[in-house]
Amino acid sequence: MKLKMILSLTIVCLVSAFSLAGIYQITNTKIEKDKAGRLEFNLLEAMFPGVKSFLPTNKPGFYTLSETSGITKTVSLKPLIPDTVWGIYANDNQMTGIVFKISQYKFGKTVETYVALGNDTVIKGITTVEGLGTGTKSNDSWLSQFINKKETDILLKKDGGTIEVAPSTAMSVRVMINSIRENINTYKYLLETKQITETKVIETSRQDSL
Amino acid sequence: MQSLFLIFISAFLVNNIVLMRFLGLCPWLGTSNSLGSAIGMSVAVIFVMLLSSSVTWIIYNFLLLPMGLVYLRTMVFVLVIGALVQFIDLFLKKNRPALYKSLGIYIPLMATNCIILGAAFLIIDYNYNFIQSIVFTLGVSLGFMLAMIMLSSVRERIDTADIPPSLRGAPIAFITASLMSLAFLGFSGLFGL
Amino acid sequence: MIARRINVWKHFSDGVTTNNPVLVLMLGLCSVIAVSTNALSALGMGIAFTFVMVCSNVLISVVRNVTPDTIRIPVFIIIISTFVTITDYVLQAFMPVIHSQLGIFLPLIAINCIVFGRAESFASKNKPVASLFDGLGIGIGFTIVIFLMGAIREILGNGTICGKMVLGKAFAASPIAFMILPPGGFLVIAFLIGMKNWLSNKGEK
Repeated sequence: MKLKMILSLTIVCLVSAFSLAGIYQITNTKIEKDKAGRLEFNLLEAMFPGVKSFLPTNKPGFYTLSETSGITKTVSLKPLIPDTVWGIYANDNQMTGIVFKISQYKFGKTVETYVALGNDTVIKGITTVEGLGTGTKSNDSWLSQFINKKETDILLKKDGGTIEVAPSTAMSVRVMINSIRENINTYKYLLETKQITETKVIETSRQDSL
Repeated sequence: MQSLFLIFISAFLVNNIVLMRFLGLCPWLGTSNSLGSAIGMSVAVIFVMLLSSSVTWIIYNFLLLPMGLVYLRTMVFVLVIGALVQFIDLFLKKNRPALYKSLGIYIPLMATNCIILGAAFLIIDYNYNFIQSIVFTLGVSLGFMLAMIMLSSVRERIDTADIPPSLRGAPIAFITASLMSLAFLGFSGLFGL
Repeated sequence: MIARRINVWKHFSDGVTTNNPVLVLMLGLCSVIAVSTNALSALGMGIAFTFVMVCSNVLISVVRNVTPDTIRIPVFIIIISTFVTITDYVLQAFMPVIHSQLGIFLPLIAINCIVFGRAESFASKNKPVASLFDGLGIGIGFTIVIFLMGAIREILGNGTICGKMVLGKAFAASPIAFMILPPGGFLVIAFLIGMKNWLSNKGEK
């Protein structure tokens, strides 16, 4: 009786472990590839708002972008701080700007915001993944007010800035705005003190937000 | 230190496990009939959760991750928590009969309590280290206790109120929950979090 | 033959109506409220749940005679969590958007009271075919409720359903955002259960 118990439990464990290992093998490569592709797309979409698709070129690390307006560009991405800040480079290795990521955890899901800055520290583009909790429709119009703003403008209207409060977001807008402003200030400081060049890795504290 | 405090407040109030994340609704509704059982249940949750989070954290970081067995996570966690609950039950019965008398009926319910497993998954998702995960667990379980005590105090009054027959029982409890959760939304601006 | 068919149909319809896991038994409420912020992710959760429910019910029913009674609980746990993990990885690979919206509620199906309850009270005592229909009925009952919640919350809270605008542009510009926030979830489930109570009270009279 005891032997039968142990035997059947072992068999059940082994069968399930092997089937899971199989499933993991099959799906994992696709999951990893999708994840990498999604991140690249988010970064490029923040920098070049009209991006429709991107394809890797022969040159490693470089992508050909095609925009909805028909223009194509060749750019490359390099992480400056792992998982937080990326530099975007044009074909001649000239830096076009940086993109940083802000994550906020709200109501059981993570909202990621990607903000693109030009070398003049003005916001070039902004995109959110998961939506702001208002659905994707109203997002774009609300986000568009960030574009071409300097860090001094990135404050809520009632705090003396130019940003309208989102009508009905599920996230804390002030936290998001504060992180964006702090990131821009850090980037500006690094540019002024020449701590950031085309290849150098900048050291900033990561923006932890809840 | 500051980040530990933020983790605690976030788990305790801002992302309250019951009212904001909807975990553990079954025990929340099931055992909030009286203040006594509410407190008993929450103390049992705090106790079991501190143990289970530490054990699952150790197993995940020292066993599953190095051996590349991440895909066994769900199964291992459920089994480990089930076994742990069984063990605590037996241990209390034998060695601490007084404690067992007051908490005994709640301990077996822990095995299917989604707060315990949910917190274990969240700790992995957030990449917390051991200290952070203990603080997080404490915040989550005290948050559960807060929600539990609040609901049970309100419910003792609701029982005597005149409510449309269709809404008696669970529906009115959910409407109460909705109002509490609305109040908790206000915490999302706390400390500029 | 006909008697058997009626029997099977009864297992199925019981799960959807008189034994509805959410509205009648009030089990598995966590995931129902949490992932019903929009109709599509609610539907995804419903389908994932139904898949786990049906597969684990059938497999438990198949092995019910060879598993000793003393170790049946661990065997249930292993079978159910295997199917949950399979669903988890398949969804992550082929529907990453839905997967990210379900979050931790997908692995939490593994300790869902409904799945365990049916395994213990039905599948471990009945033939595979009956268990199949029981699982299907319970799963579809769950899916209907969660989809209904998702649809109500998305229409009121966002003015859309499955991403399409339904209540006009003016409403979509300033919807009742309360509905897709946590309090709205509690409110909608309260009134759904209340409505079901009202209907069954009326039926008794």
